[in-house]
Amino acid sequence: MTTVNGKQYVFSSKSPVMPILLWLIKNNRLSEVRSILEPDRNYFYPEKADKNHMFDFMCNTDIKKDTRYTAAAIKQQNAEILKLLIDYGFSADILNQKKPDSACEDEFGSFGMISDYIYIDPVHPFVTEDKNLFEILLRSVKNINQIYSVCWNENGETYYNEMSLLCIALYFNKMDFADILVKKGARLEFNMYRNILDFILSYKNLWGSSFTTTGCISRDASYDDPPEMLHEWSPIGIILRKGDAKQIEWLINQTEHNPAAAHEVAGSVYYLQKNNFLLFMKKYPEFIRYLDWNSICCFANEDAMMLYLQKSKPELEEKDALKLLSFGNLVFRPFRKLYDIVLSEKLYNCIKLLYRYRPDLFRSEDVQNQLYNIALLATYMDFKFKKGDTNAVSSKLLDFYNQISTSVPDATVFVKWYYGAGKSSEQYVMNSRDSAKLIKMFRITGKNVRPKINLSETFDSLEDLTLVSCSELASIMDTFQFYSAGEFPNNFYKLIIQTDSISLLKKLLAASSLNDKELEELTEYAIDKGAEKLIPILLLNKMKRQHQ
Amino acid sequence: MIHTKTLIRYITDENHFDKLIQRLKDENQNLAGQWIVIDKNEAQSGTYKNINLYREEKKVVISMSGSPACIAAYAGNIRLLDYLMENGLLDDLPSLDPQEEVGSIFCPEICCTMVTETDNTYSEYCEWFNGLSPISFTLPEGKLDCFKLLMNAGQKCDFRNRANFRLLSLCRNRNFWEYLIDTGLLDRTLLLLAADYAFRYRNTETTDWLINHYNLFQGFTKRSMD
Repeated sequence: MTTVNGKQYVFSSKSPVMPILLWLIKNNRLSEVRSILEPDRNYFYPEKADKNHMFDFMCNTDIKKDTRYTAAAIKQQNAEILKLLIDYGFSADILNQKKPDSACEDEFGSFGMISDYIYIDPVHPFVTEDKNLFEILLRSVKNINQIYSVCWNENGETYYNEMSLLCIALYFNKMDFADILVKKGARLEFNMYRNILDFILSYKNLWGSSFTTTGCISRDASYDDPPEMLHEWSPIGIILRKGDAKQIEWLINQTEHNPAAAHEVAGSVYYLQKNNFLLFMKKYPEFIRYLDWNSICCFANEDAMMLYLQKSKPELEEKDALKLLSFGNLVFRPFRKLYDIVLSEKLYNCIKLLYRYRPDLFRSEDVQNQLYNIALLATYMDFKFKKGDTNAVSSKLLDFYNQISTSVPDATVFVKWYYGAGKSSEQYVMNSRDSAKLIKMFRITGKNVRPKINLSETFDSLEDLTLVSCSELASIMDTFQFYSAGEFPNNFYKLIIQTDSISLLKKLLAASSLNDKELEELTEYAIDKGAEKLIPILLLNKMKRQHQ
Repeated sequence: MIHTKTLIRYITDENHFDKLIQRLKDENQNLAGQWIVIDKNEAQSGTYKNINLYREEKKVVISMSGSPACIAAYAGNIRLLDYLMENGLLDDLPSLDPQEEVGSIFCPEICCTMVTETDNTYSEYCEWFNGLSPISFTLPEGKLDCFKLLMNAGQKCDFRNRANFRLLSLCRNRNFWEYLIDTGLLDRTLLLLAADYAFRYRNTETTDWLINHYNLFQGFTKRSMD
């Protein structure tokens, strides 16, 4: 802590006000305010920034950058003075920034982690509720589609988002303001937000392009954009997710002469849930024809699927079934969405719908295997996040799999994900005891068969071998049967050798049928790694084979 | 070689003019190319008795850097200014060494620091006034004689330059204000804004005087600000 003369140094980020100007604004003295502003604008030479002065950026001497004057006019509800100030170039806050309750301001006046975000009041997200003042305030906004990084508290959770003014108005039910914004040219369609741009274009050198200054690029969503991330917080996405009938009606009216927006509505109807979806389609049946299998699968929207199957009667193929059951596409989602889709029965219901429509597609081994691995994922998620839930989706998925399965299941896809992306992500990590317990849950009850795993594929991307404990390795060997066509010894064998555990090695030798060459290579690897306890056993095995 | 602190003492005190000239002669030195810096600590601690750099009751500190003409103008040393004019040193600035880095460019400036202290805390706010000419240095203390001398010598003080206008707002010398207004150098329509800037720079007595003396508007008192 910096101290001056034994006193705590307090950083002051705001310049002193022009007190008379402020007093005049607070006392609604329009003509006097004008008599201060008039010479301020017309009399002086334009200020030249002294580029040589390294401290200039630290001091805010331009009174117009200070928002306290416009804030005073807003408080007075004095539209004339507010208009005057904004026309003279005074800055204004349009968002109602709220100091977070628990935030601790540091000596530089910022709020720790959320300093980049404007913490808004969800009840009053804008500085005014007055339409006239809001419209005047919009004059101070350089780009009506500008994106603001905002955060707010809702039901005890803090949301962080990049939103346009229109998004904020729609999300927080300020429909009068939404009307004004649309009238002034705010985009109803999706904007390329900064964080998504970072995500998609991180490999391309786009810095310095227009989005860095405006916070947005006015462009429609394209095929390459991950649909899950794109539309959710677009004005259209917000309305459809909320499912408020009045807002939806407003949206449809707005899209009447806006084909791009109408197109986005057609692509985003999957955000509507349950009754809202069906009510929407009943009221606006023209959107039924836009329903699309890929999007239905991506959003796992059972109502959309039901309607699509009923109305379009599509000729589906195995690849379409795999689109719905793609384990890879599923786990590519952010955690919250994965959790929502897997554990809310949405996906299960979609699978059942598809099965009822085309049971023959489930005869495919690939389809069965993807379903099995999704069931394992659900088992894992139930176990980790919903311990003790007796009505778990995972059991339904496994039961359904057992009902349709015609071959030995292959758990490679799940196990590979679990020991790769899963284990390396903080969100999914589990202690070794629970991991071992989980793996044992994968035993198929009532059947005298063990699920398969491809050893070389399963552990080939595992870089940190310490991530797998001895108890997990034992569980894996107890639960699965192995097959492998890759390089020998693969990571799994290496893991066992590195543990230098006799019992694990015995299990391994019992579980795998190593040929002489493989046994020799494993012995060499053990010698190389100095697995002292295992070397004699391996050599003994080798000798036994030679004598046989 | 005259020590910098001694040089500043001579420059800021008209009574030391003869001594300064004699010392320069003795040391075979001159004032051309000299660059004077008075930092905030020197200003606040009253290192130089004959120049008013710290308004203690308002906790306003004025630090500066510039040529001897600039410092003499601020201090009101009319004899030295006259001498510098005669010797063509009014607009003299140290020549730039091309080897020097950009940061060392000599640019006369004044810095006004406003300190706020409570029992336990200390904070300060600064405003810089850059690219000034010697006549601008007469404004904060309202050194009328120096101002007139420099005007007569052809120096211009344009209040359309915002730095000059804001420096004037620091001025507590009513005669100086009246002179500027009576001669038309300062437009009357600017007085309300000037009064506001004066308040901003804690020159509240001048604010009151401007508002009342020139009847700028009704109803405002310092108490009504609360």
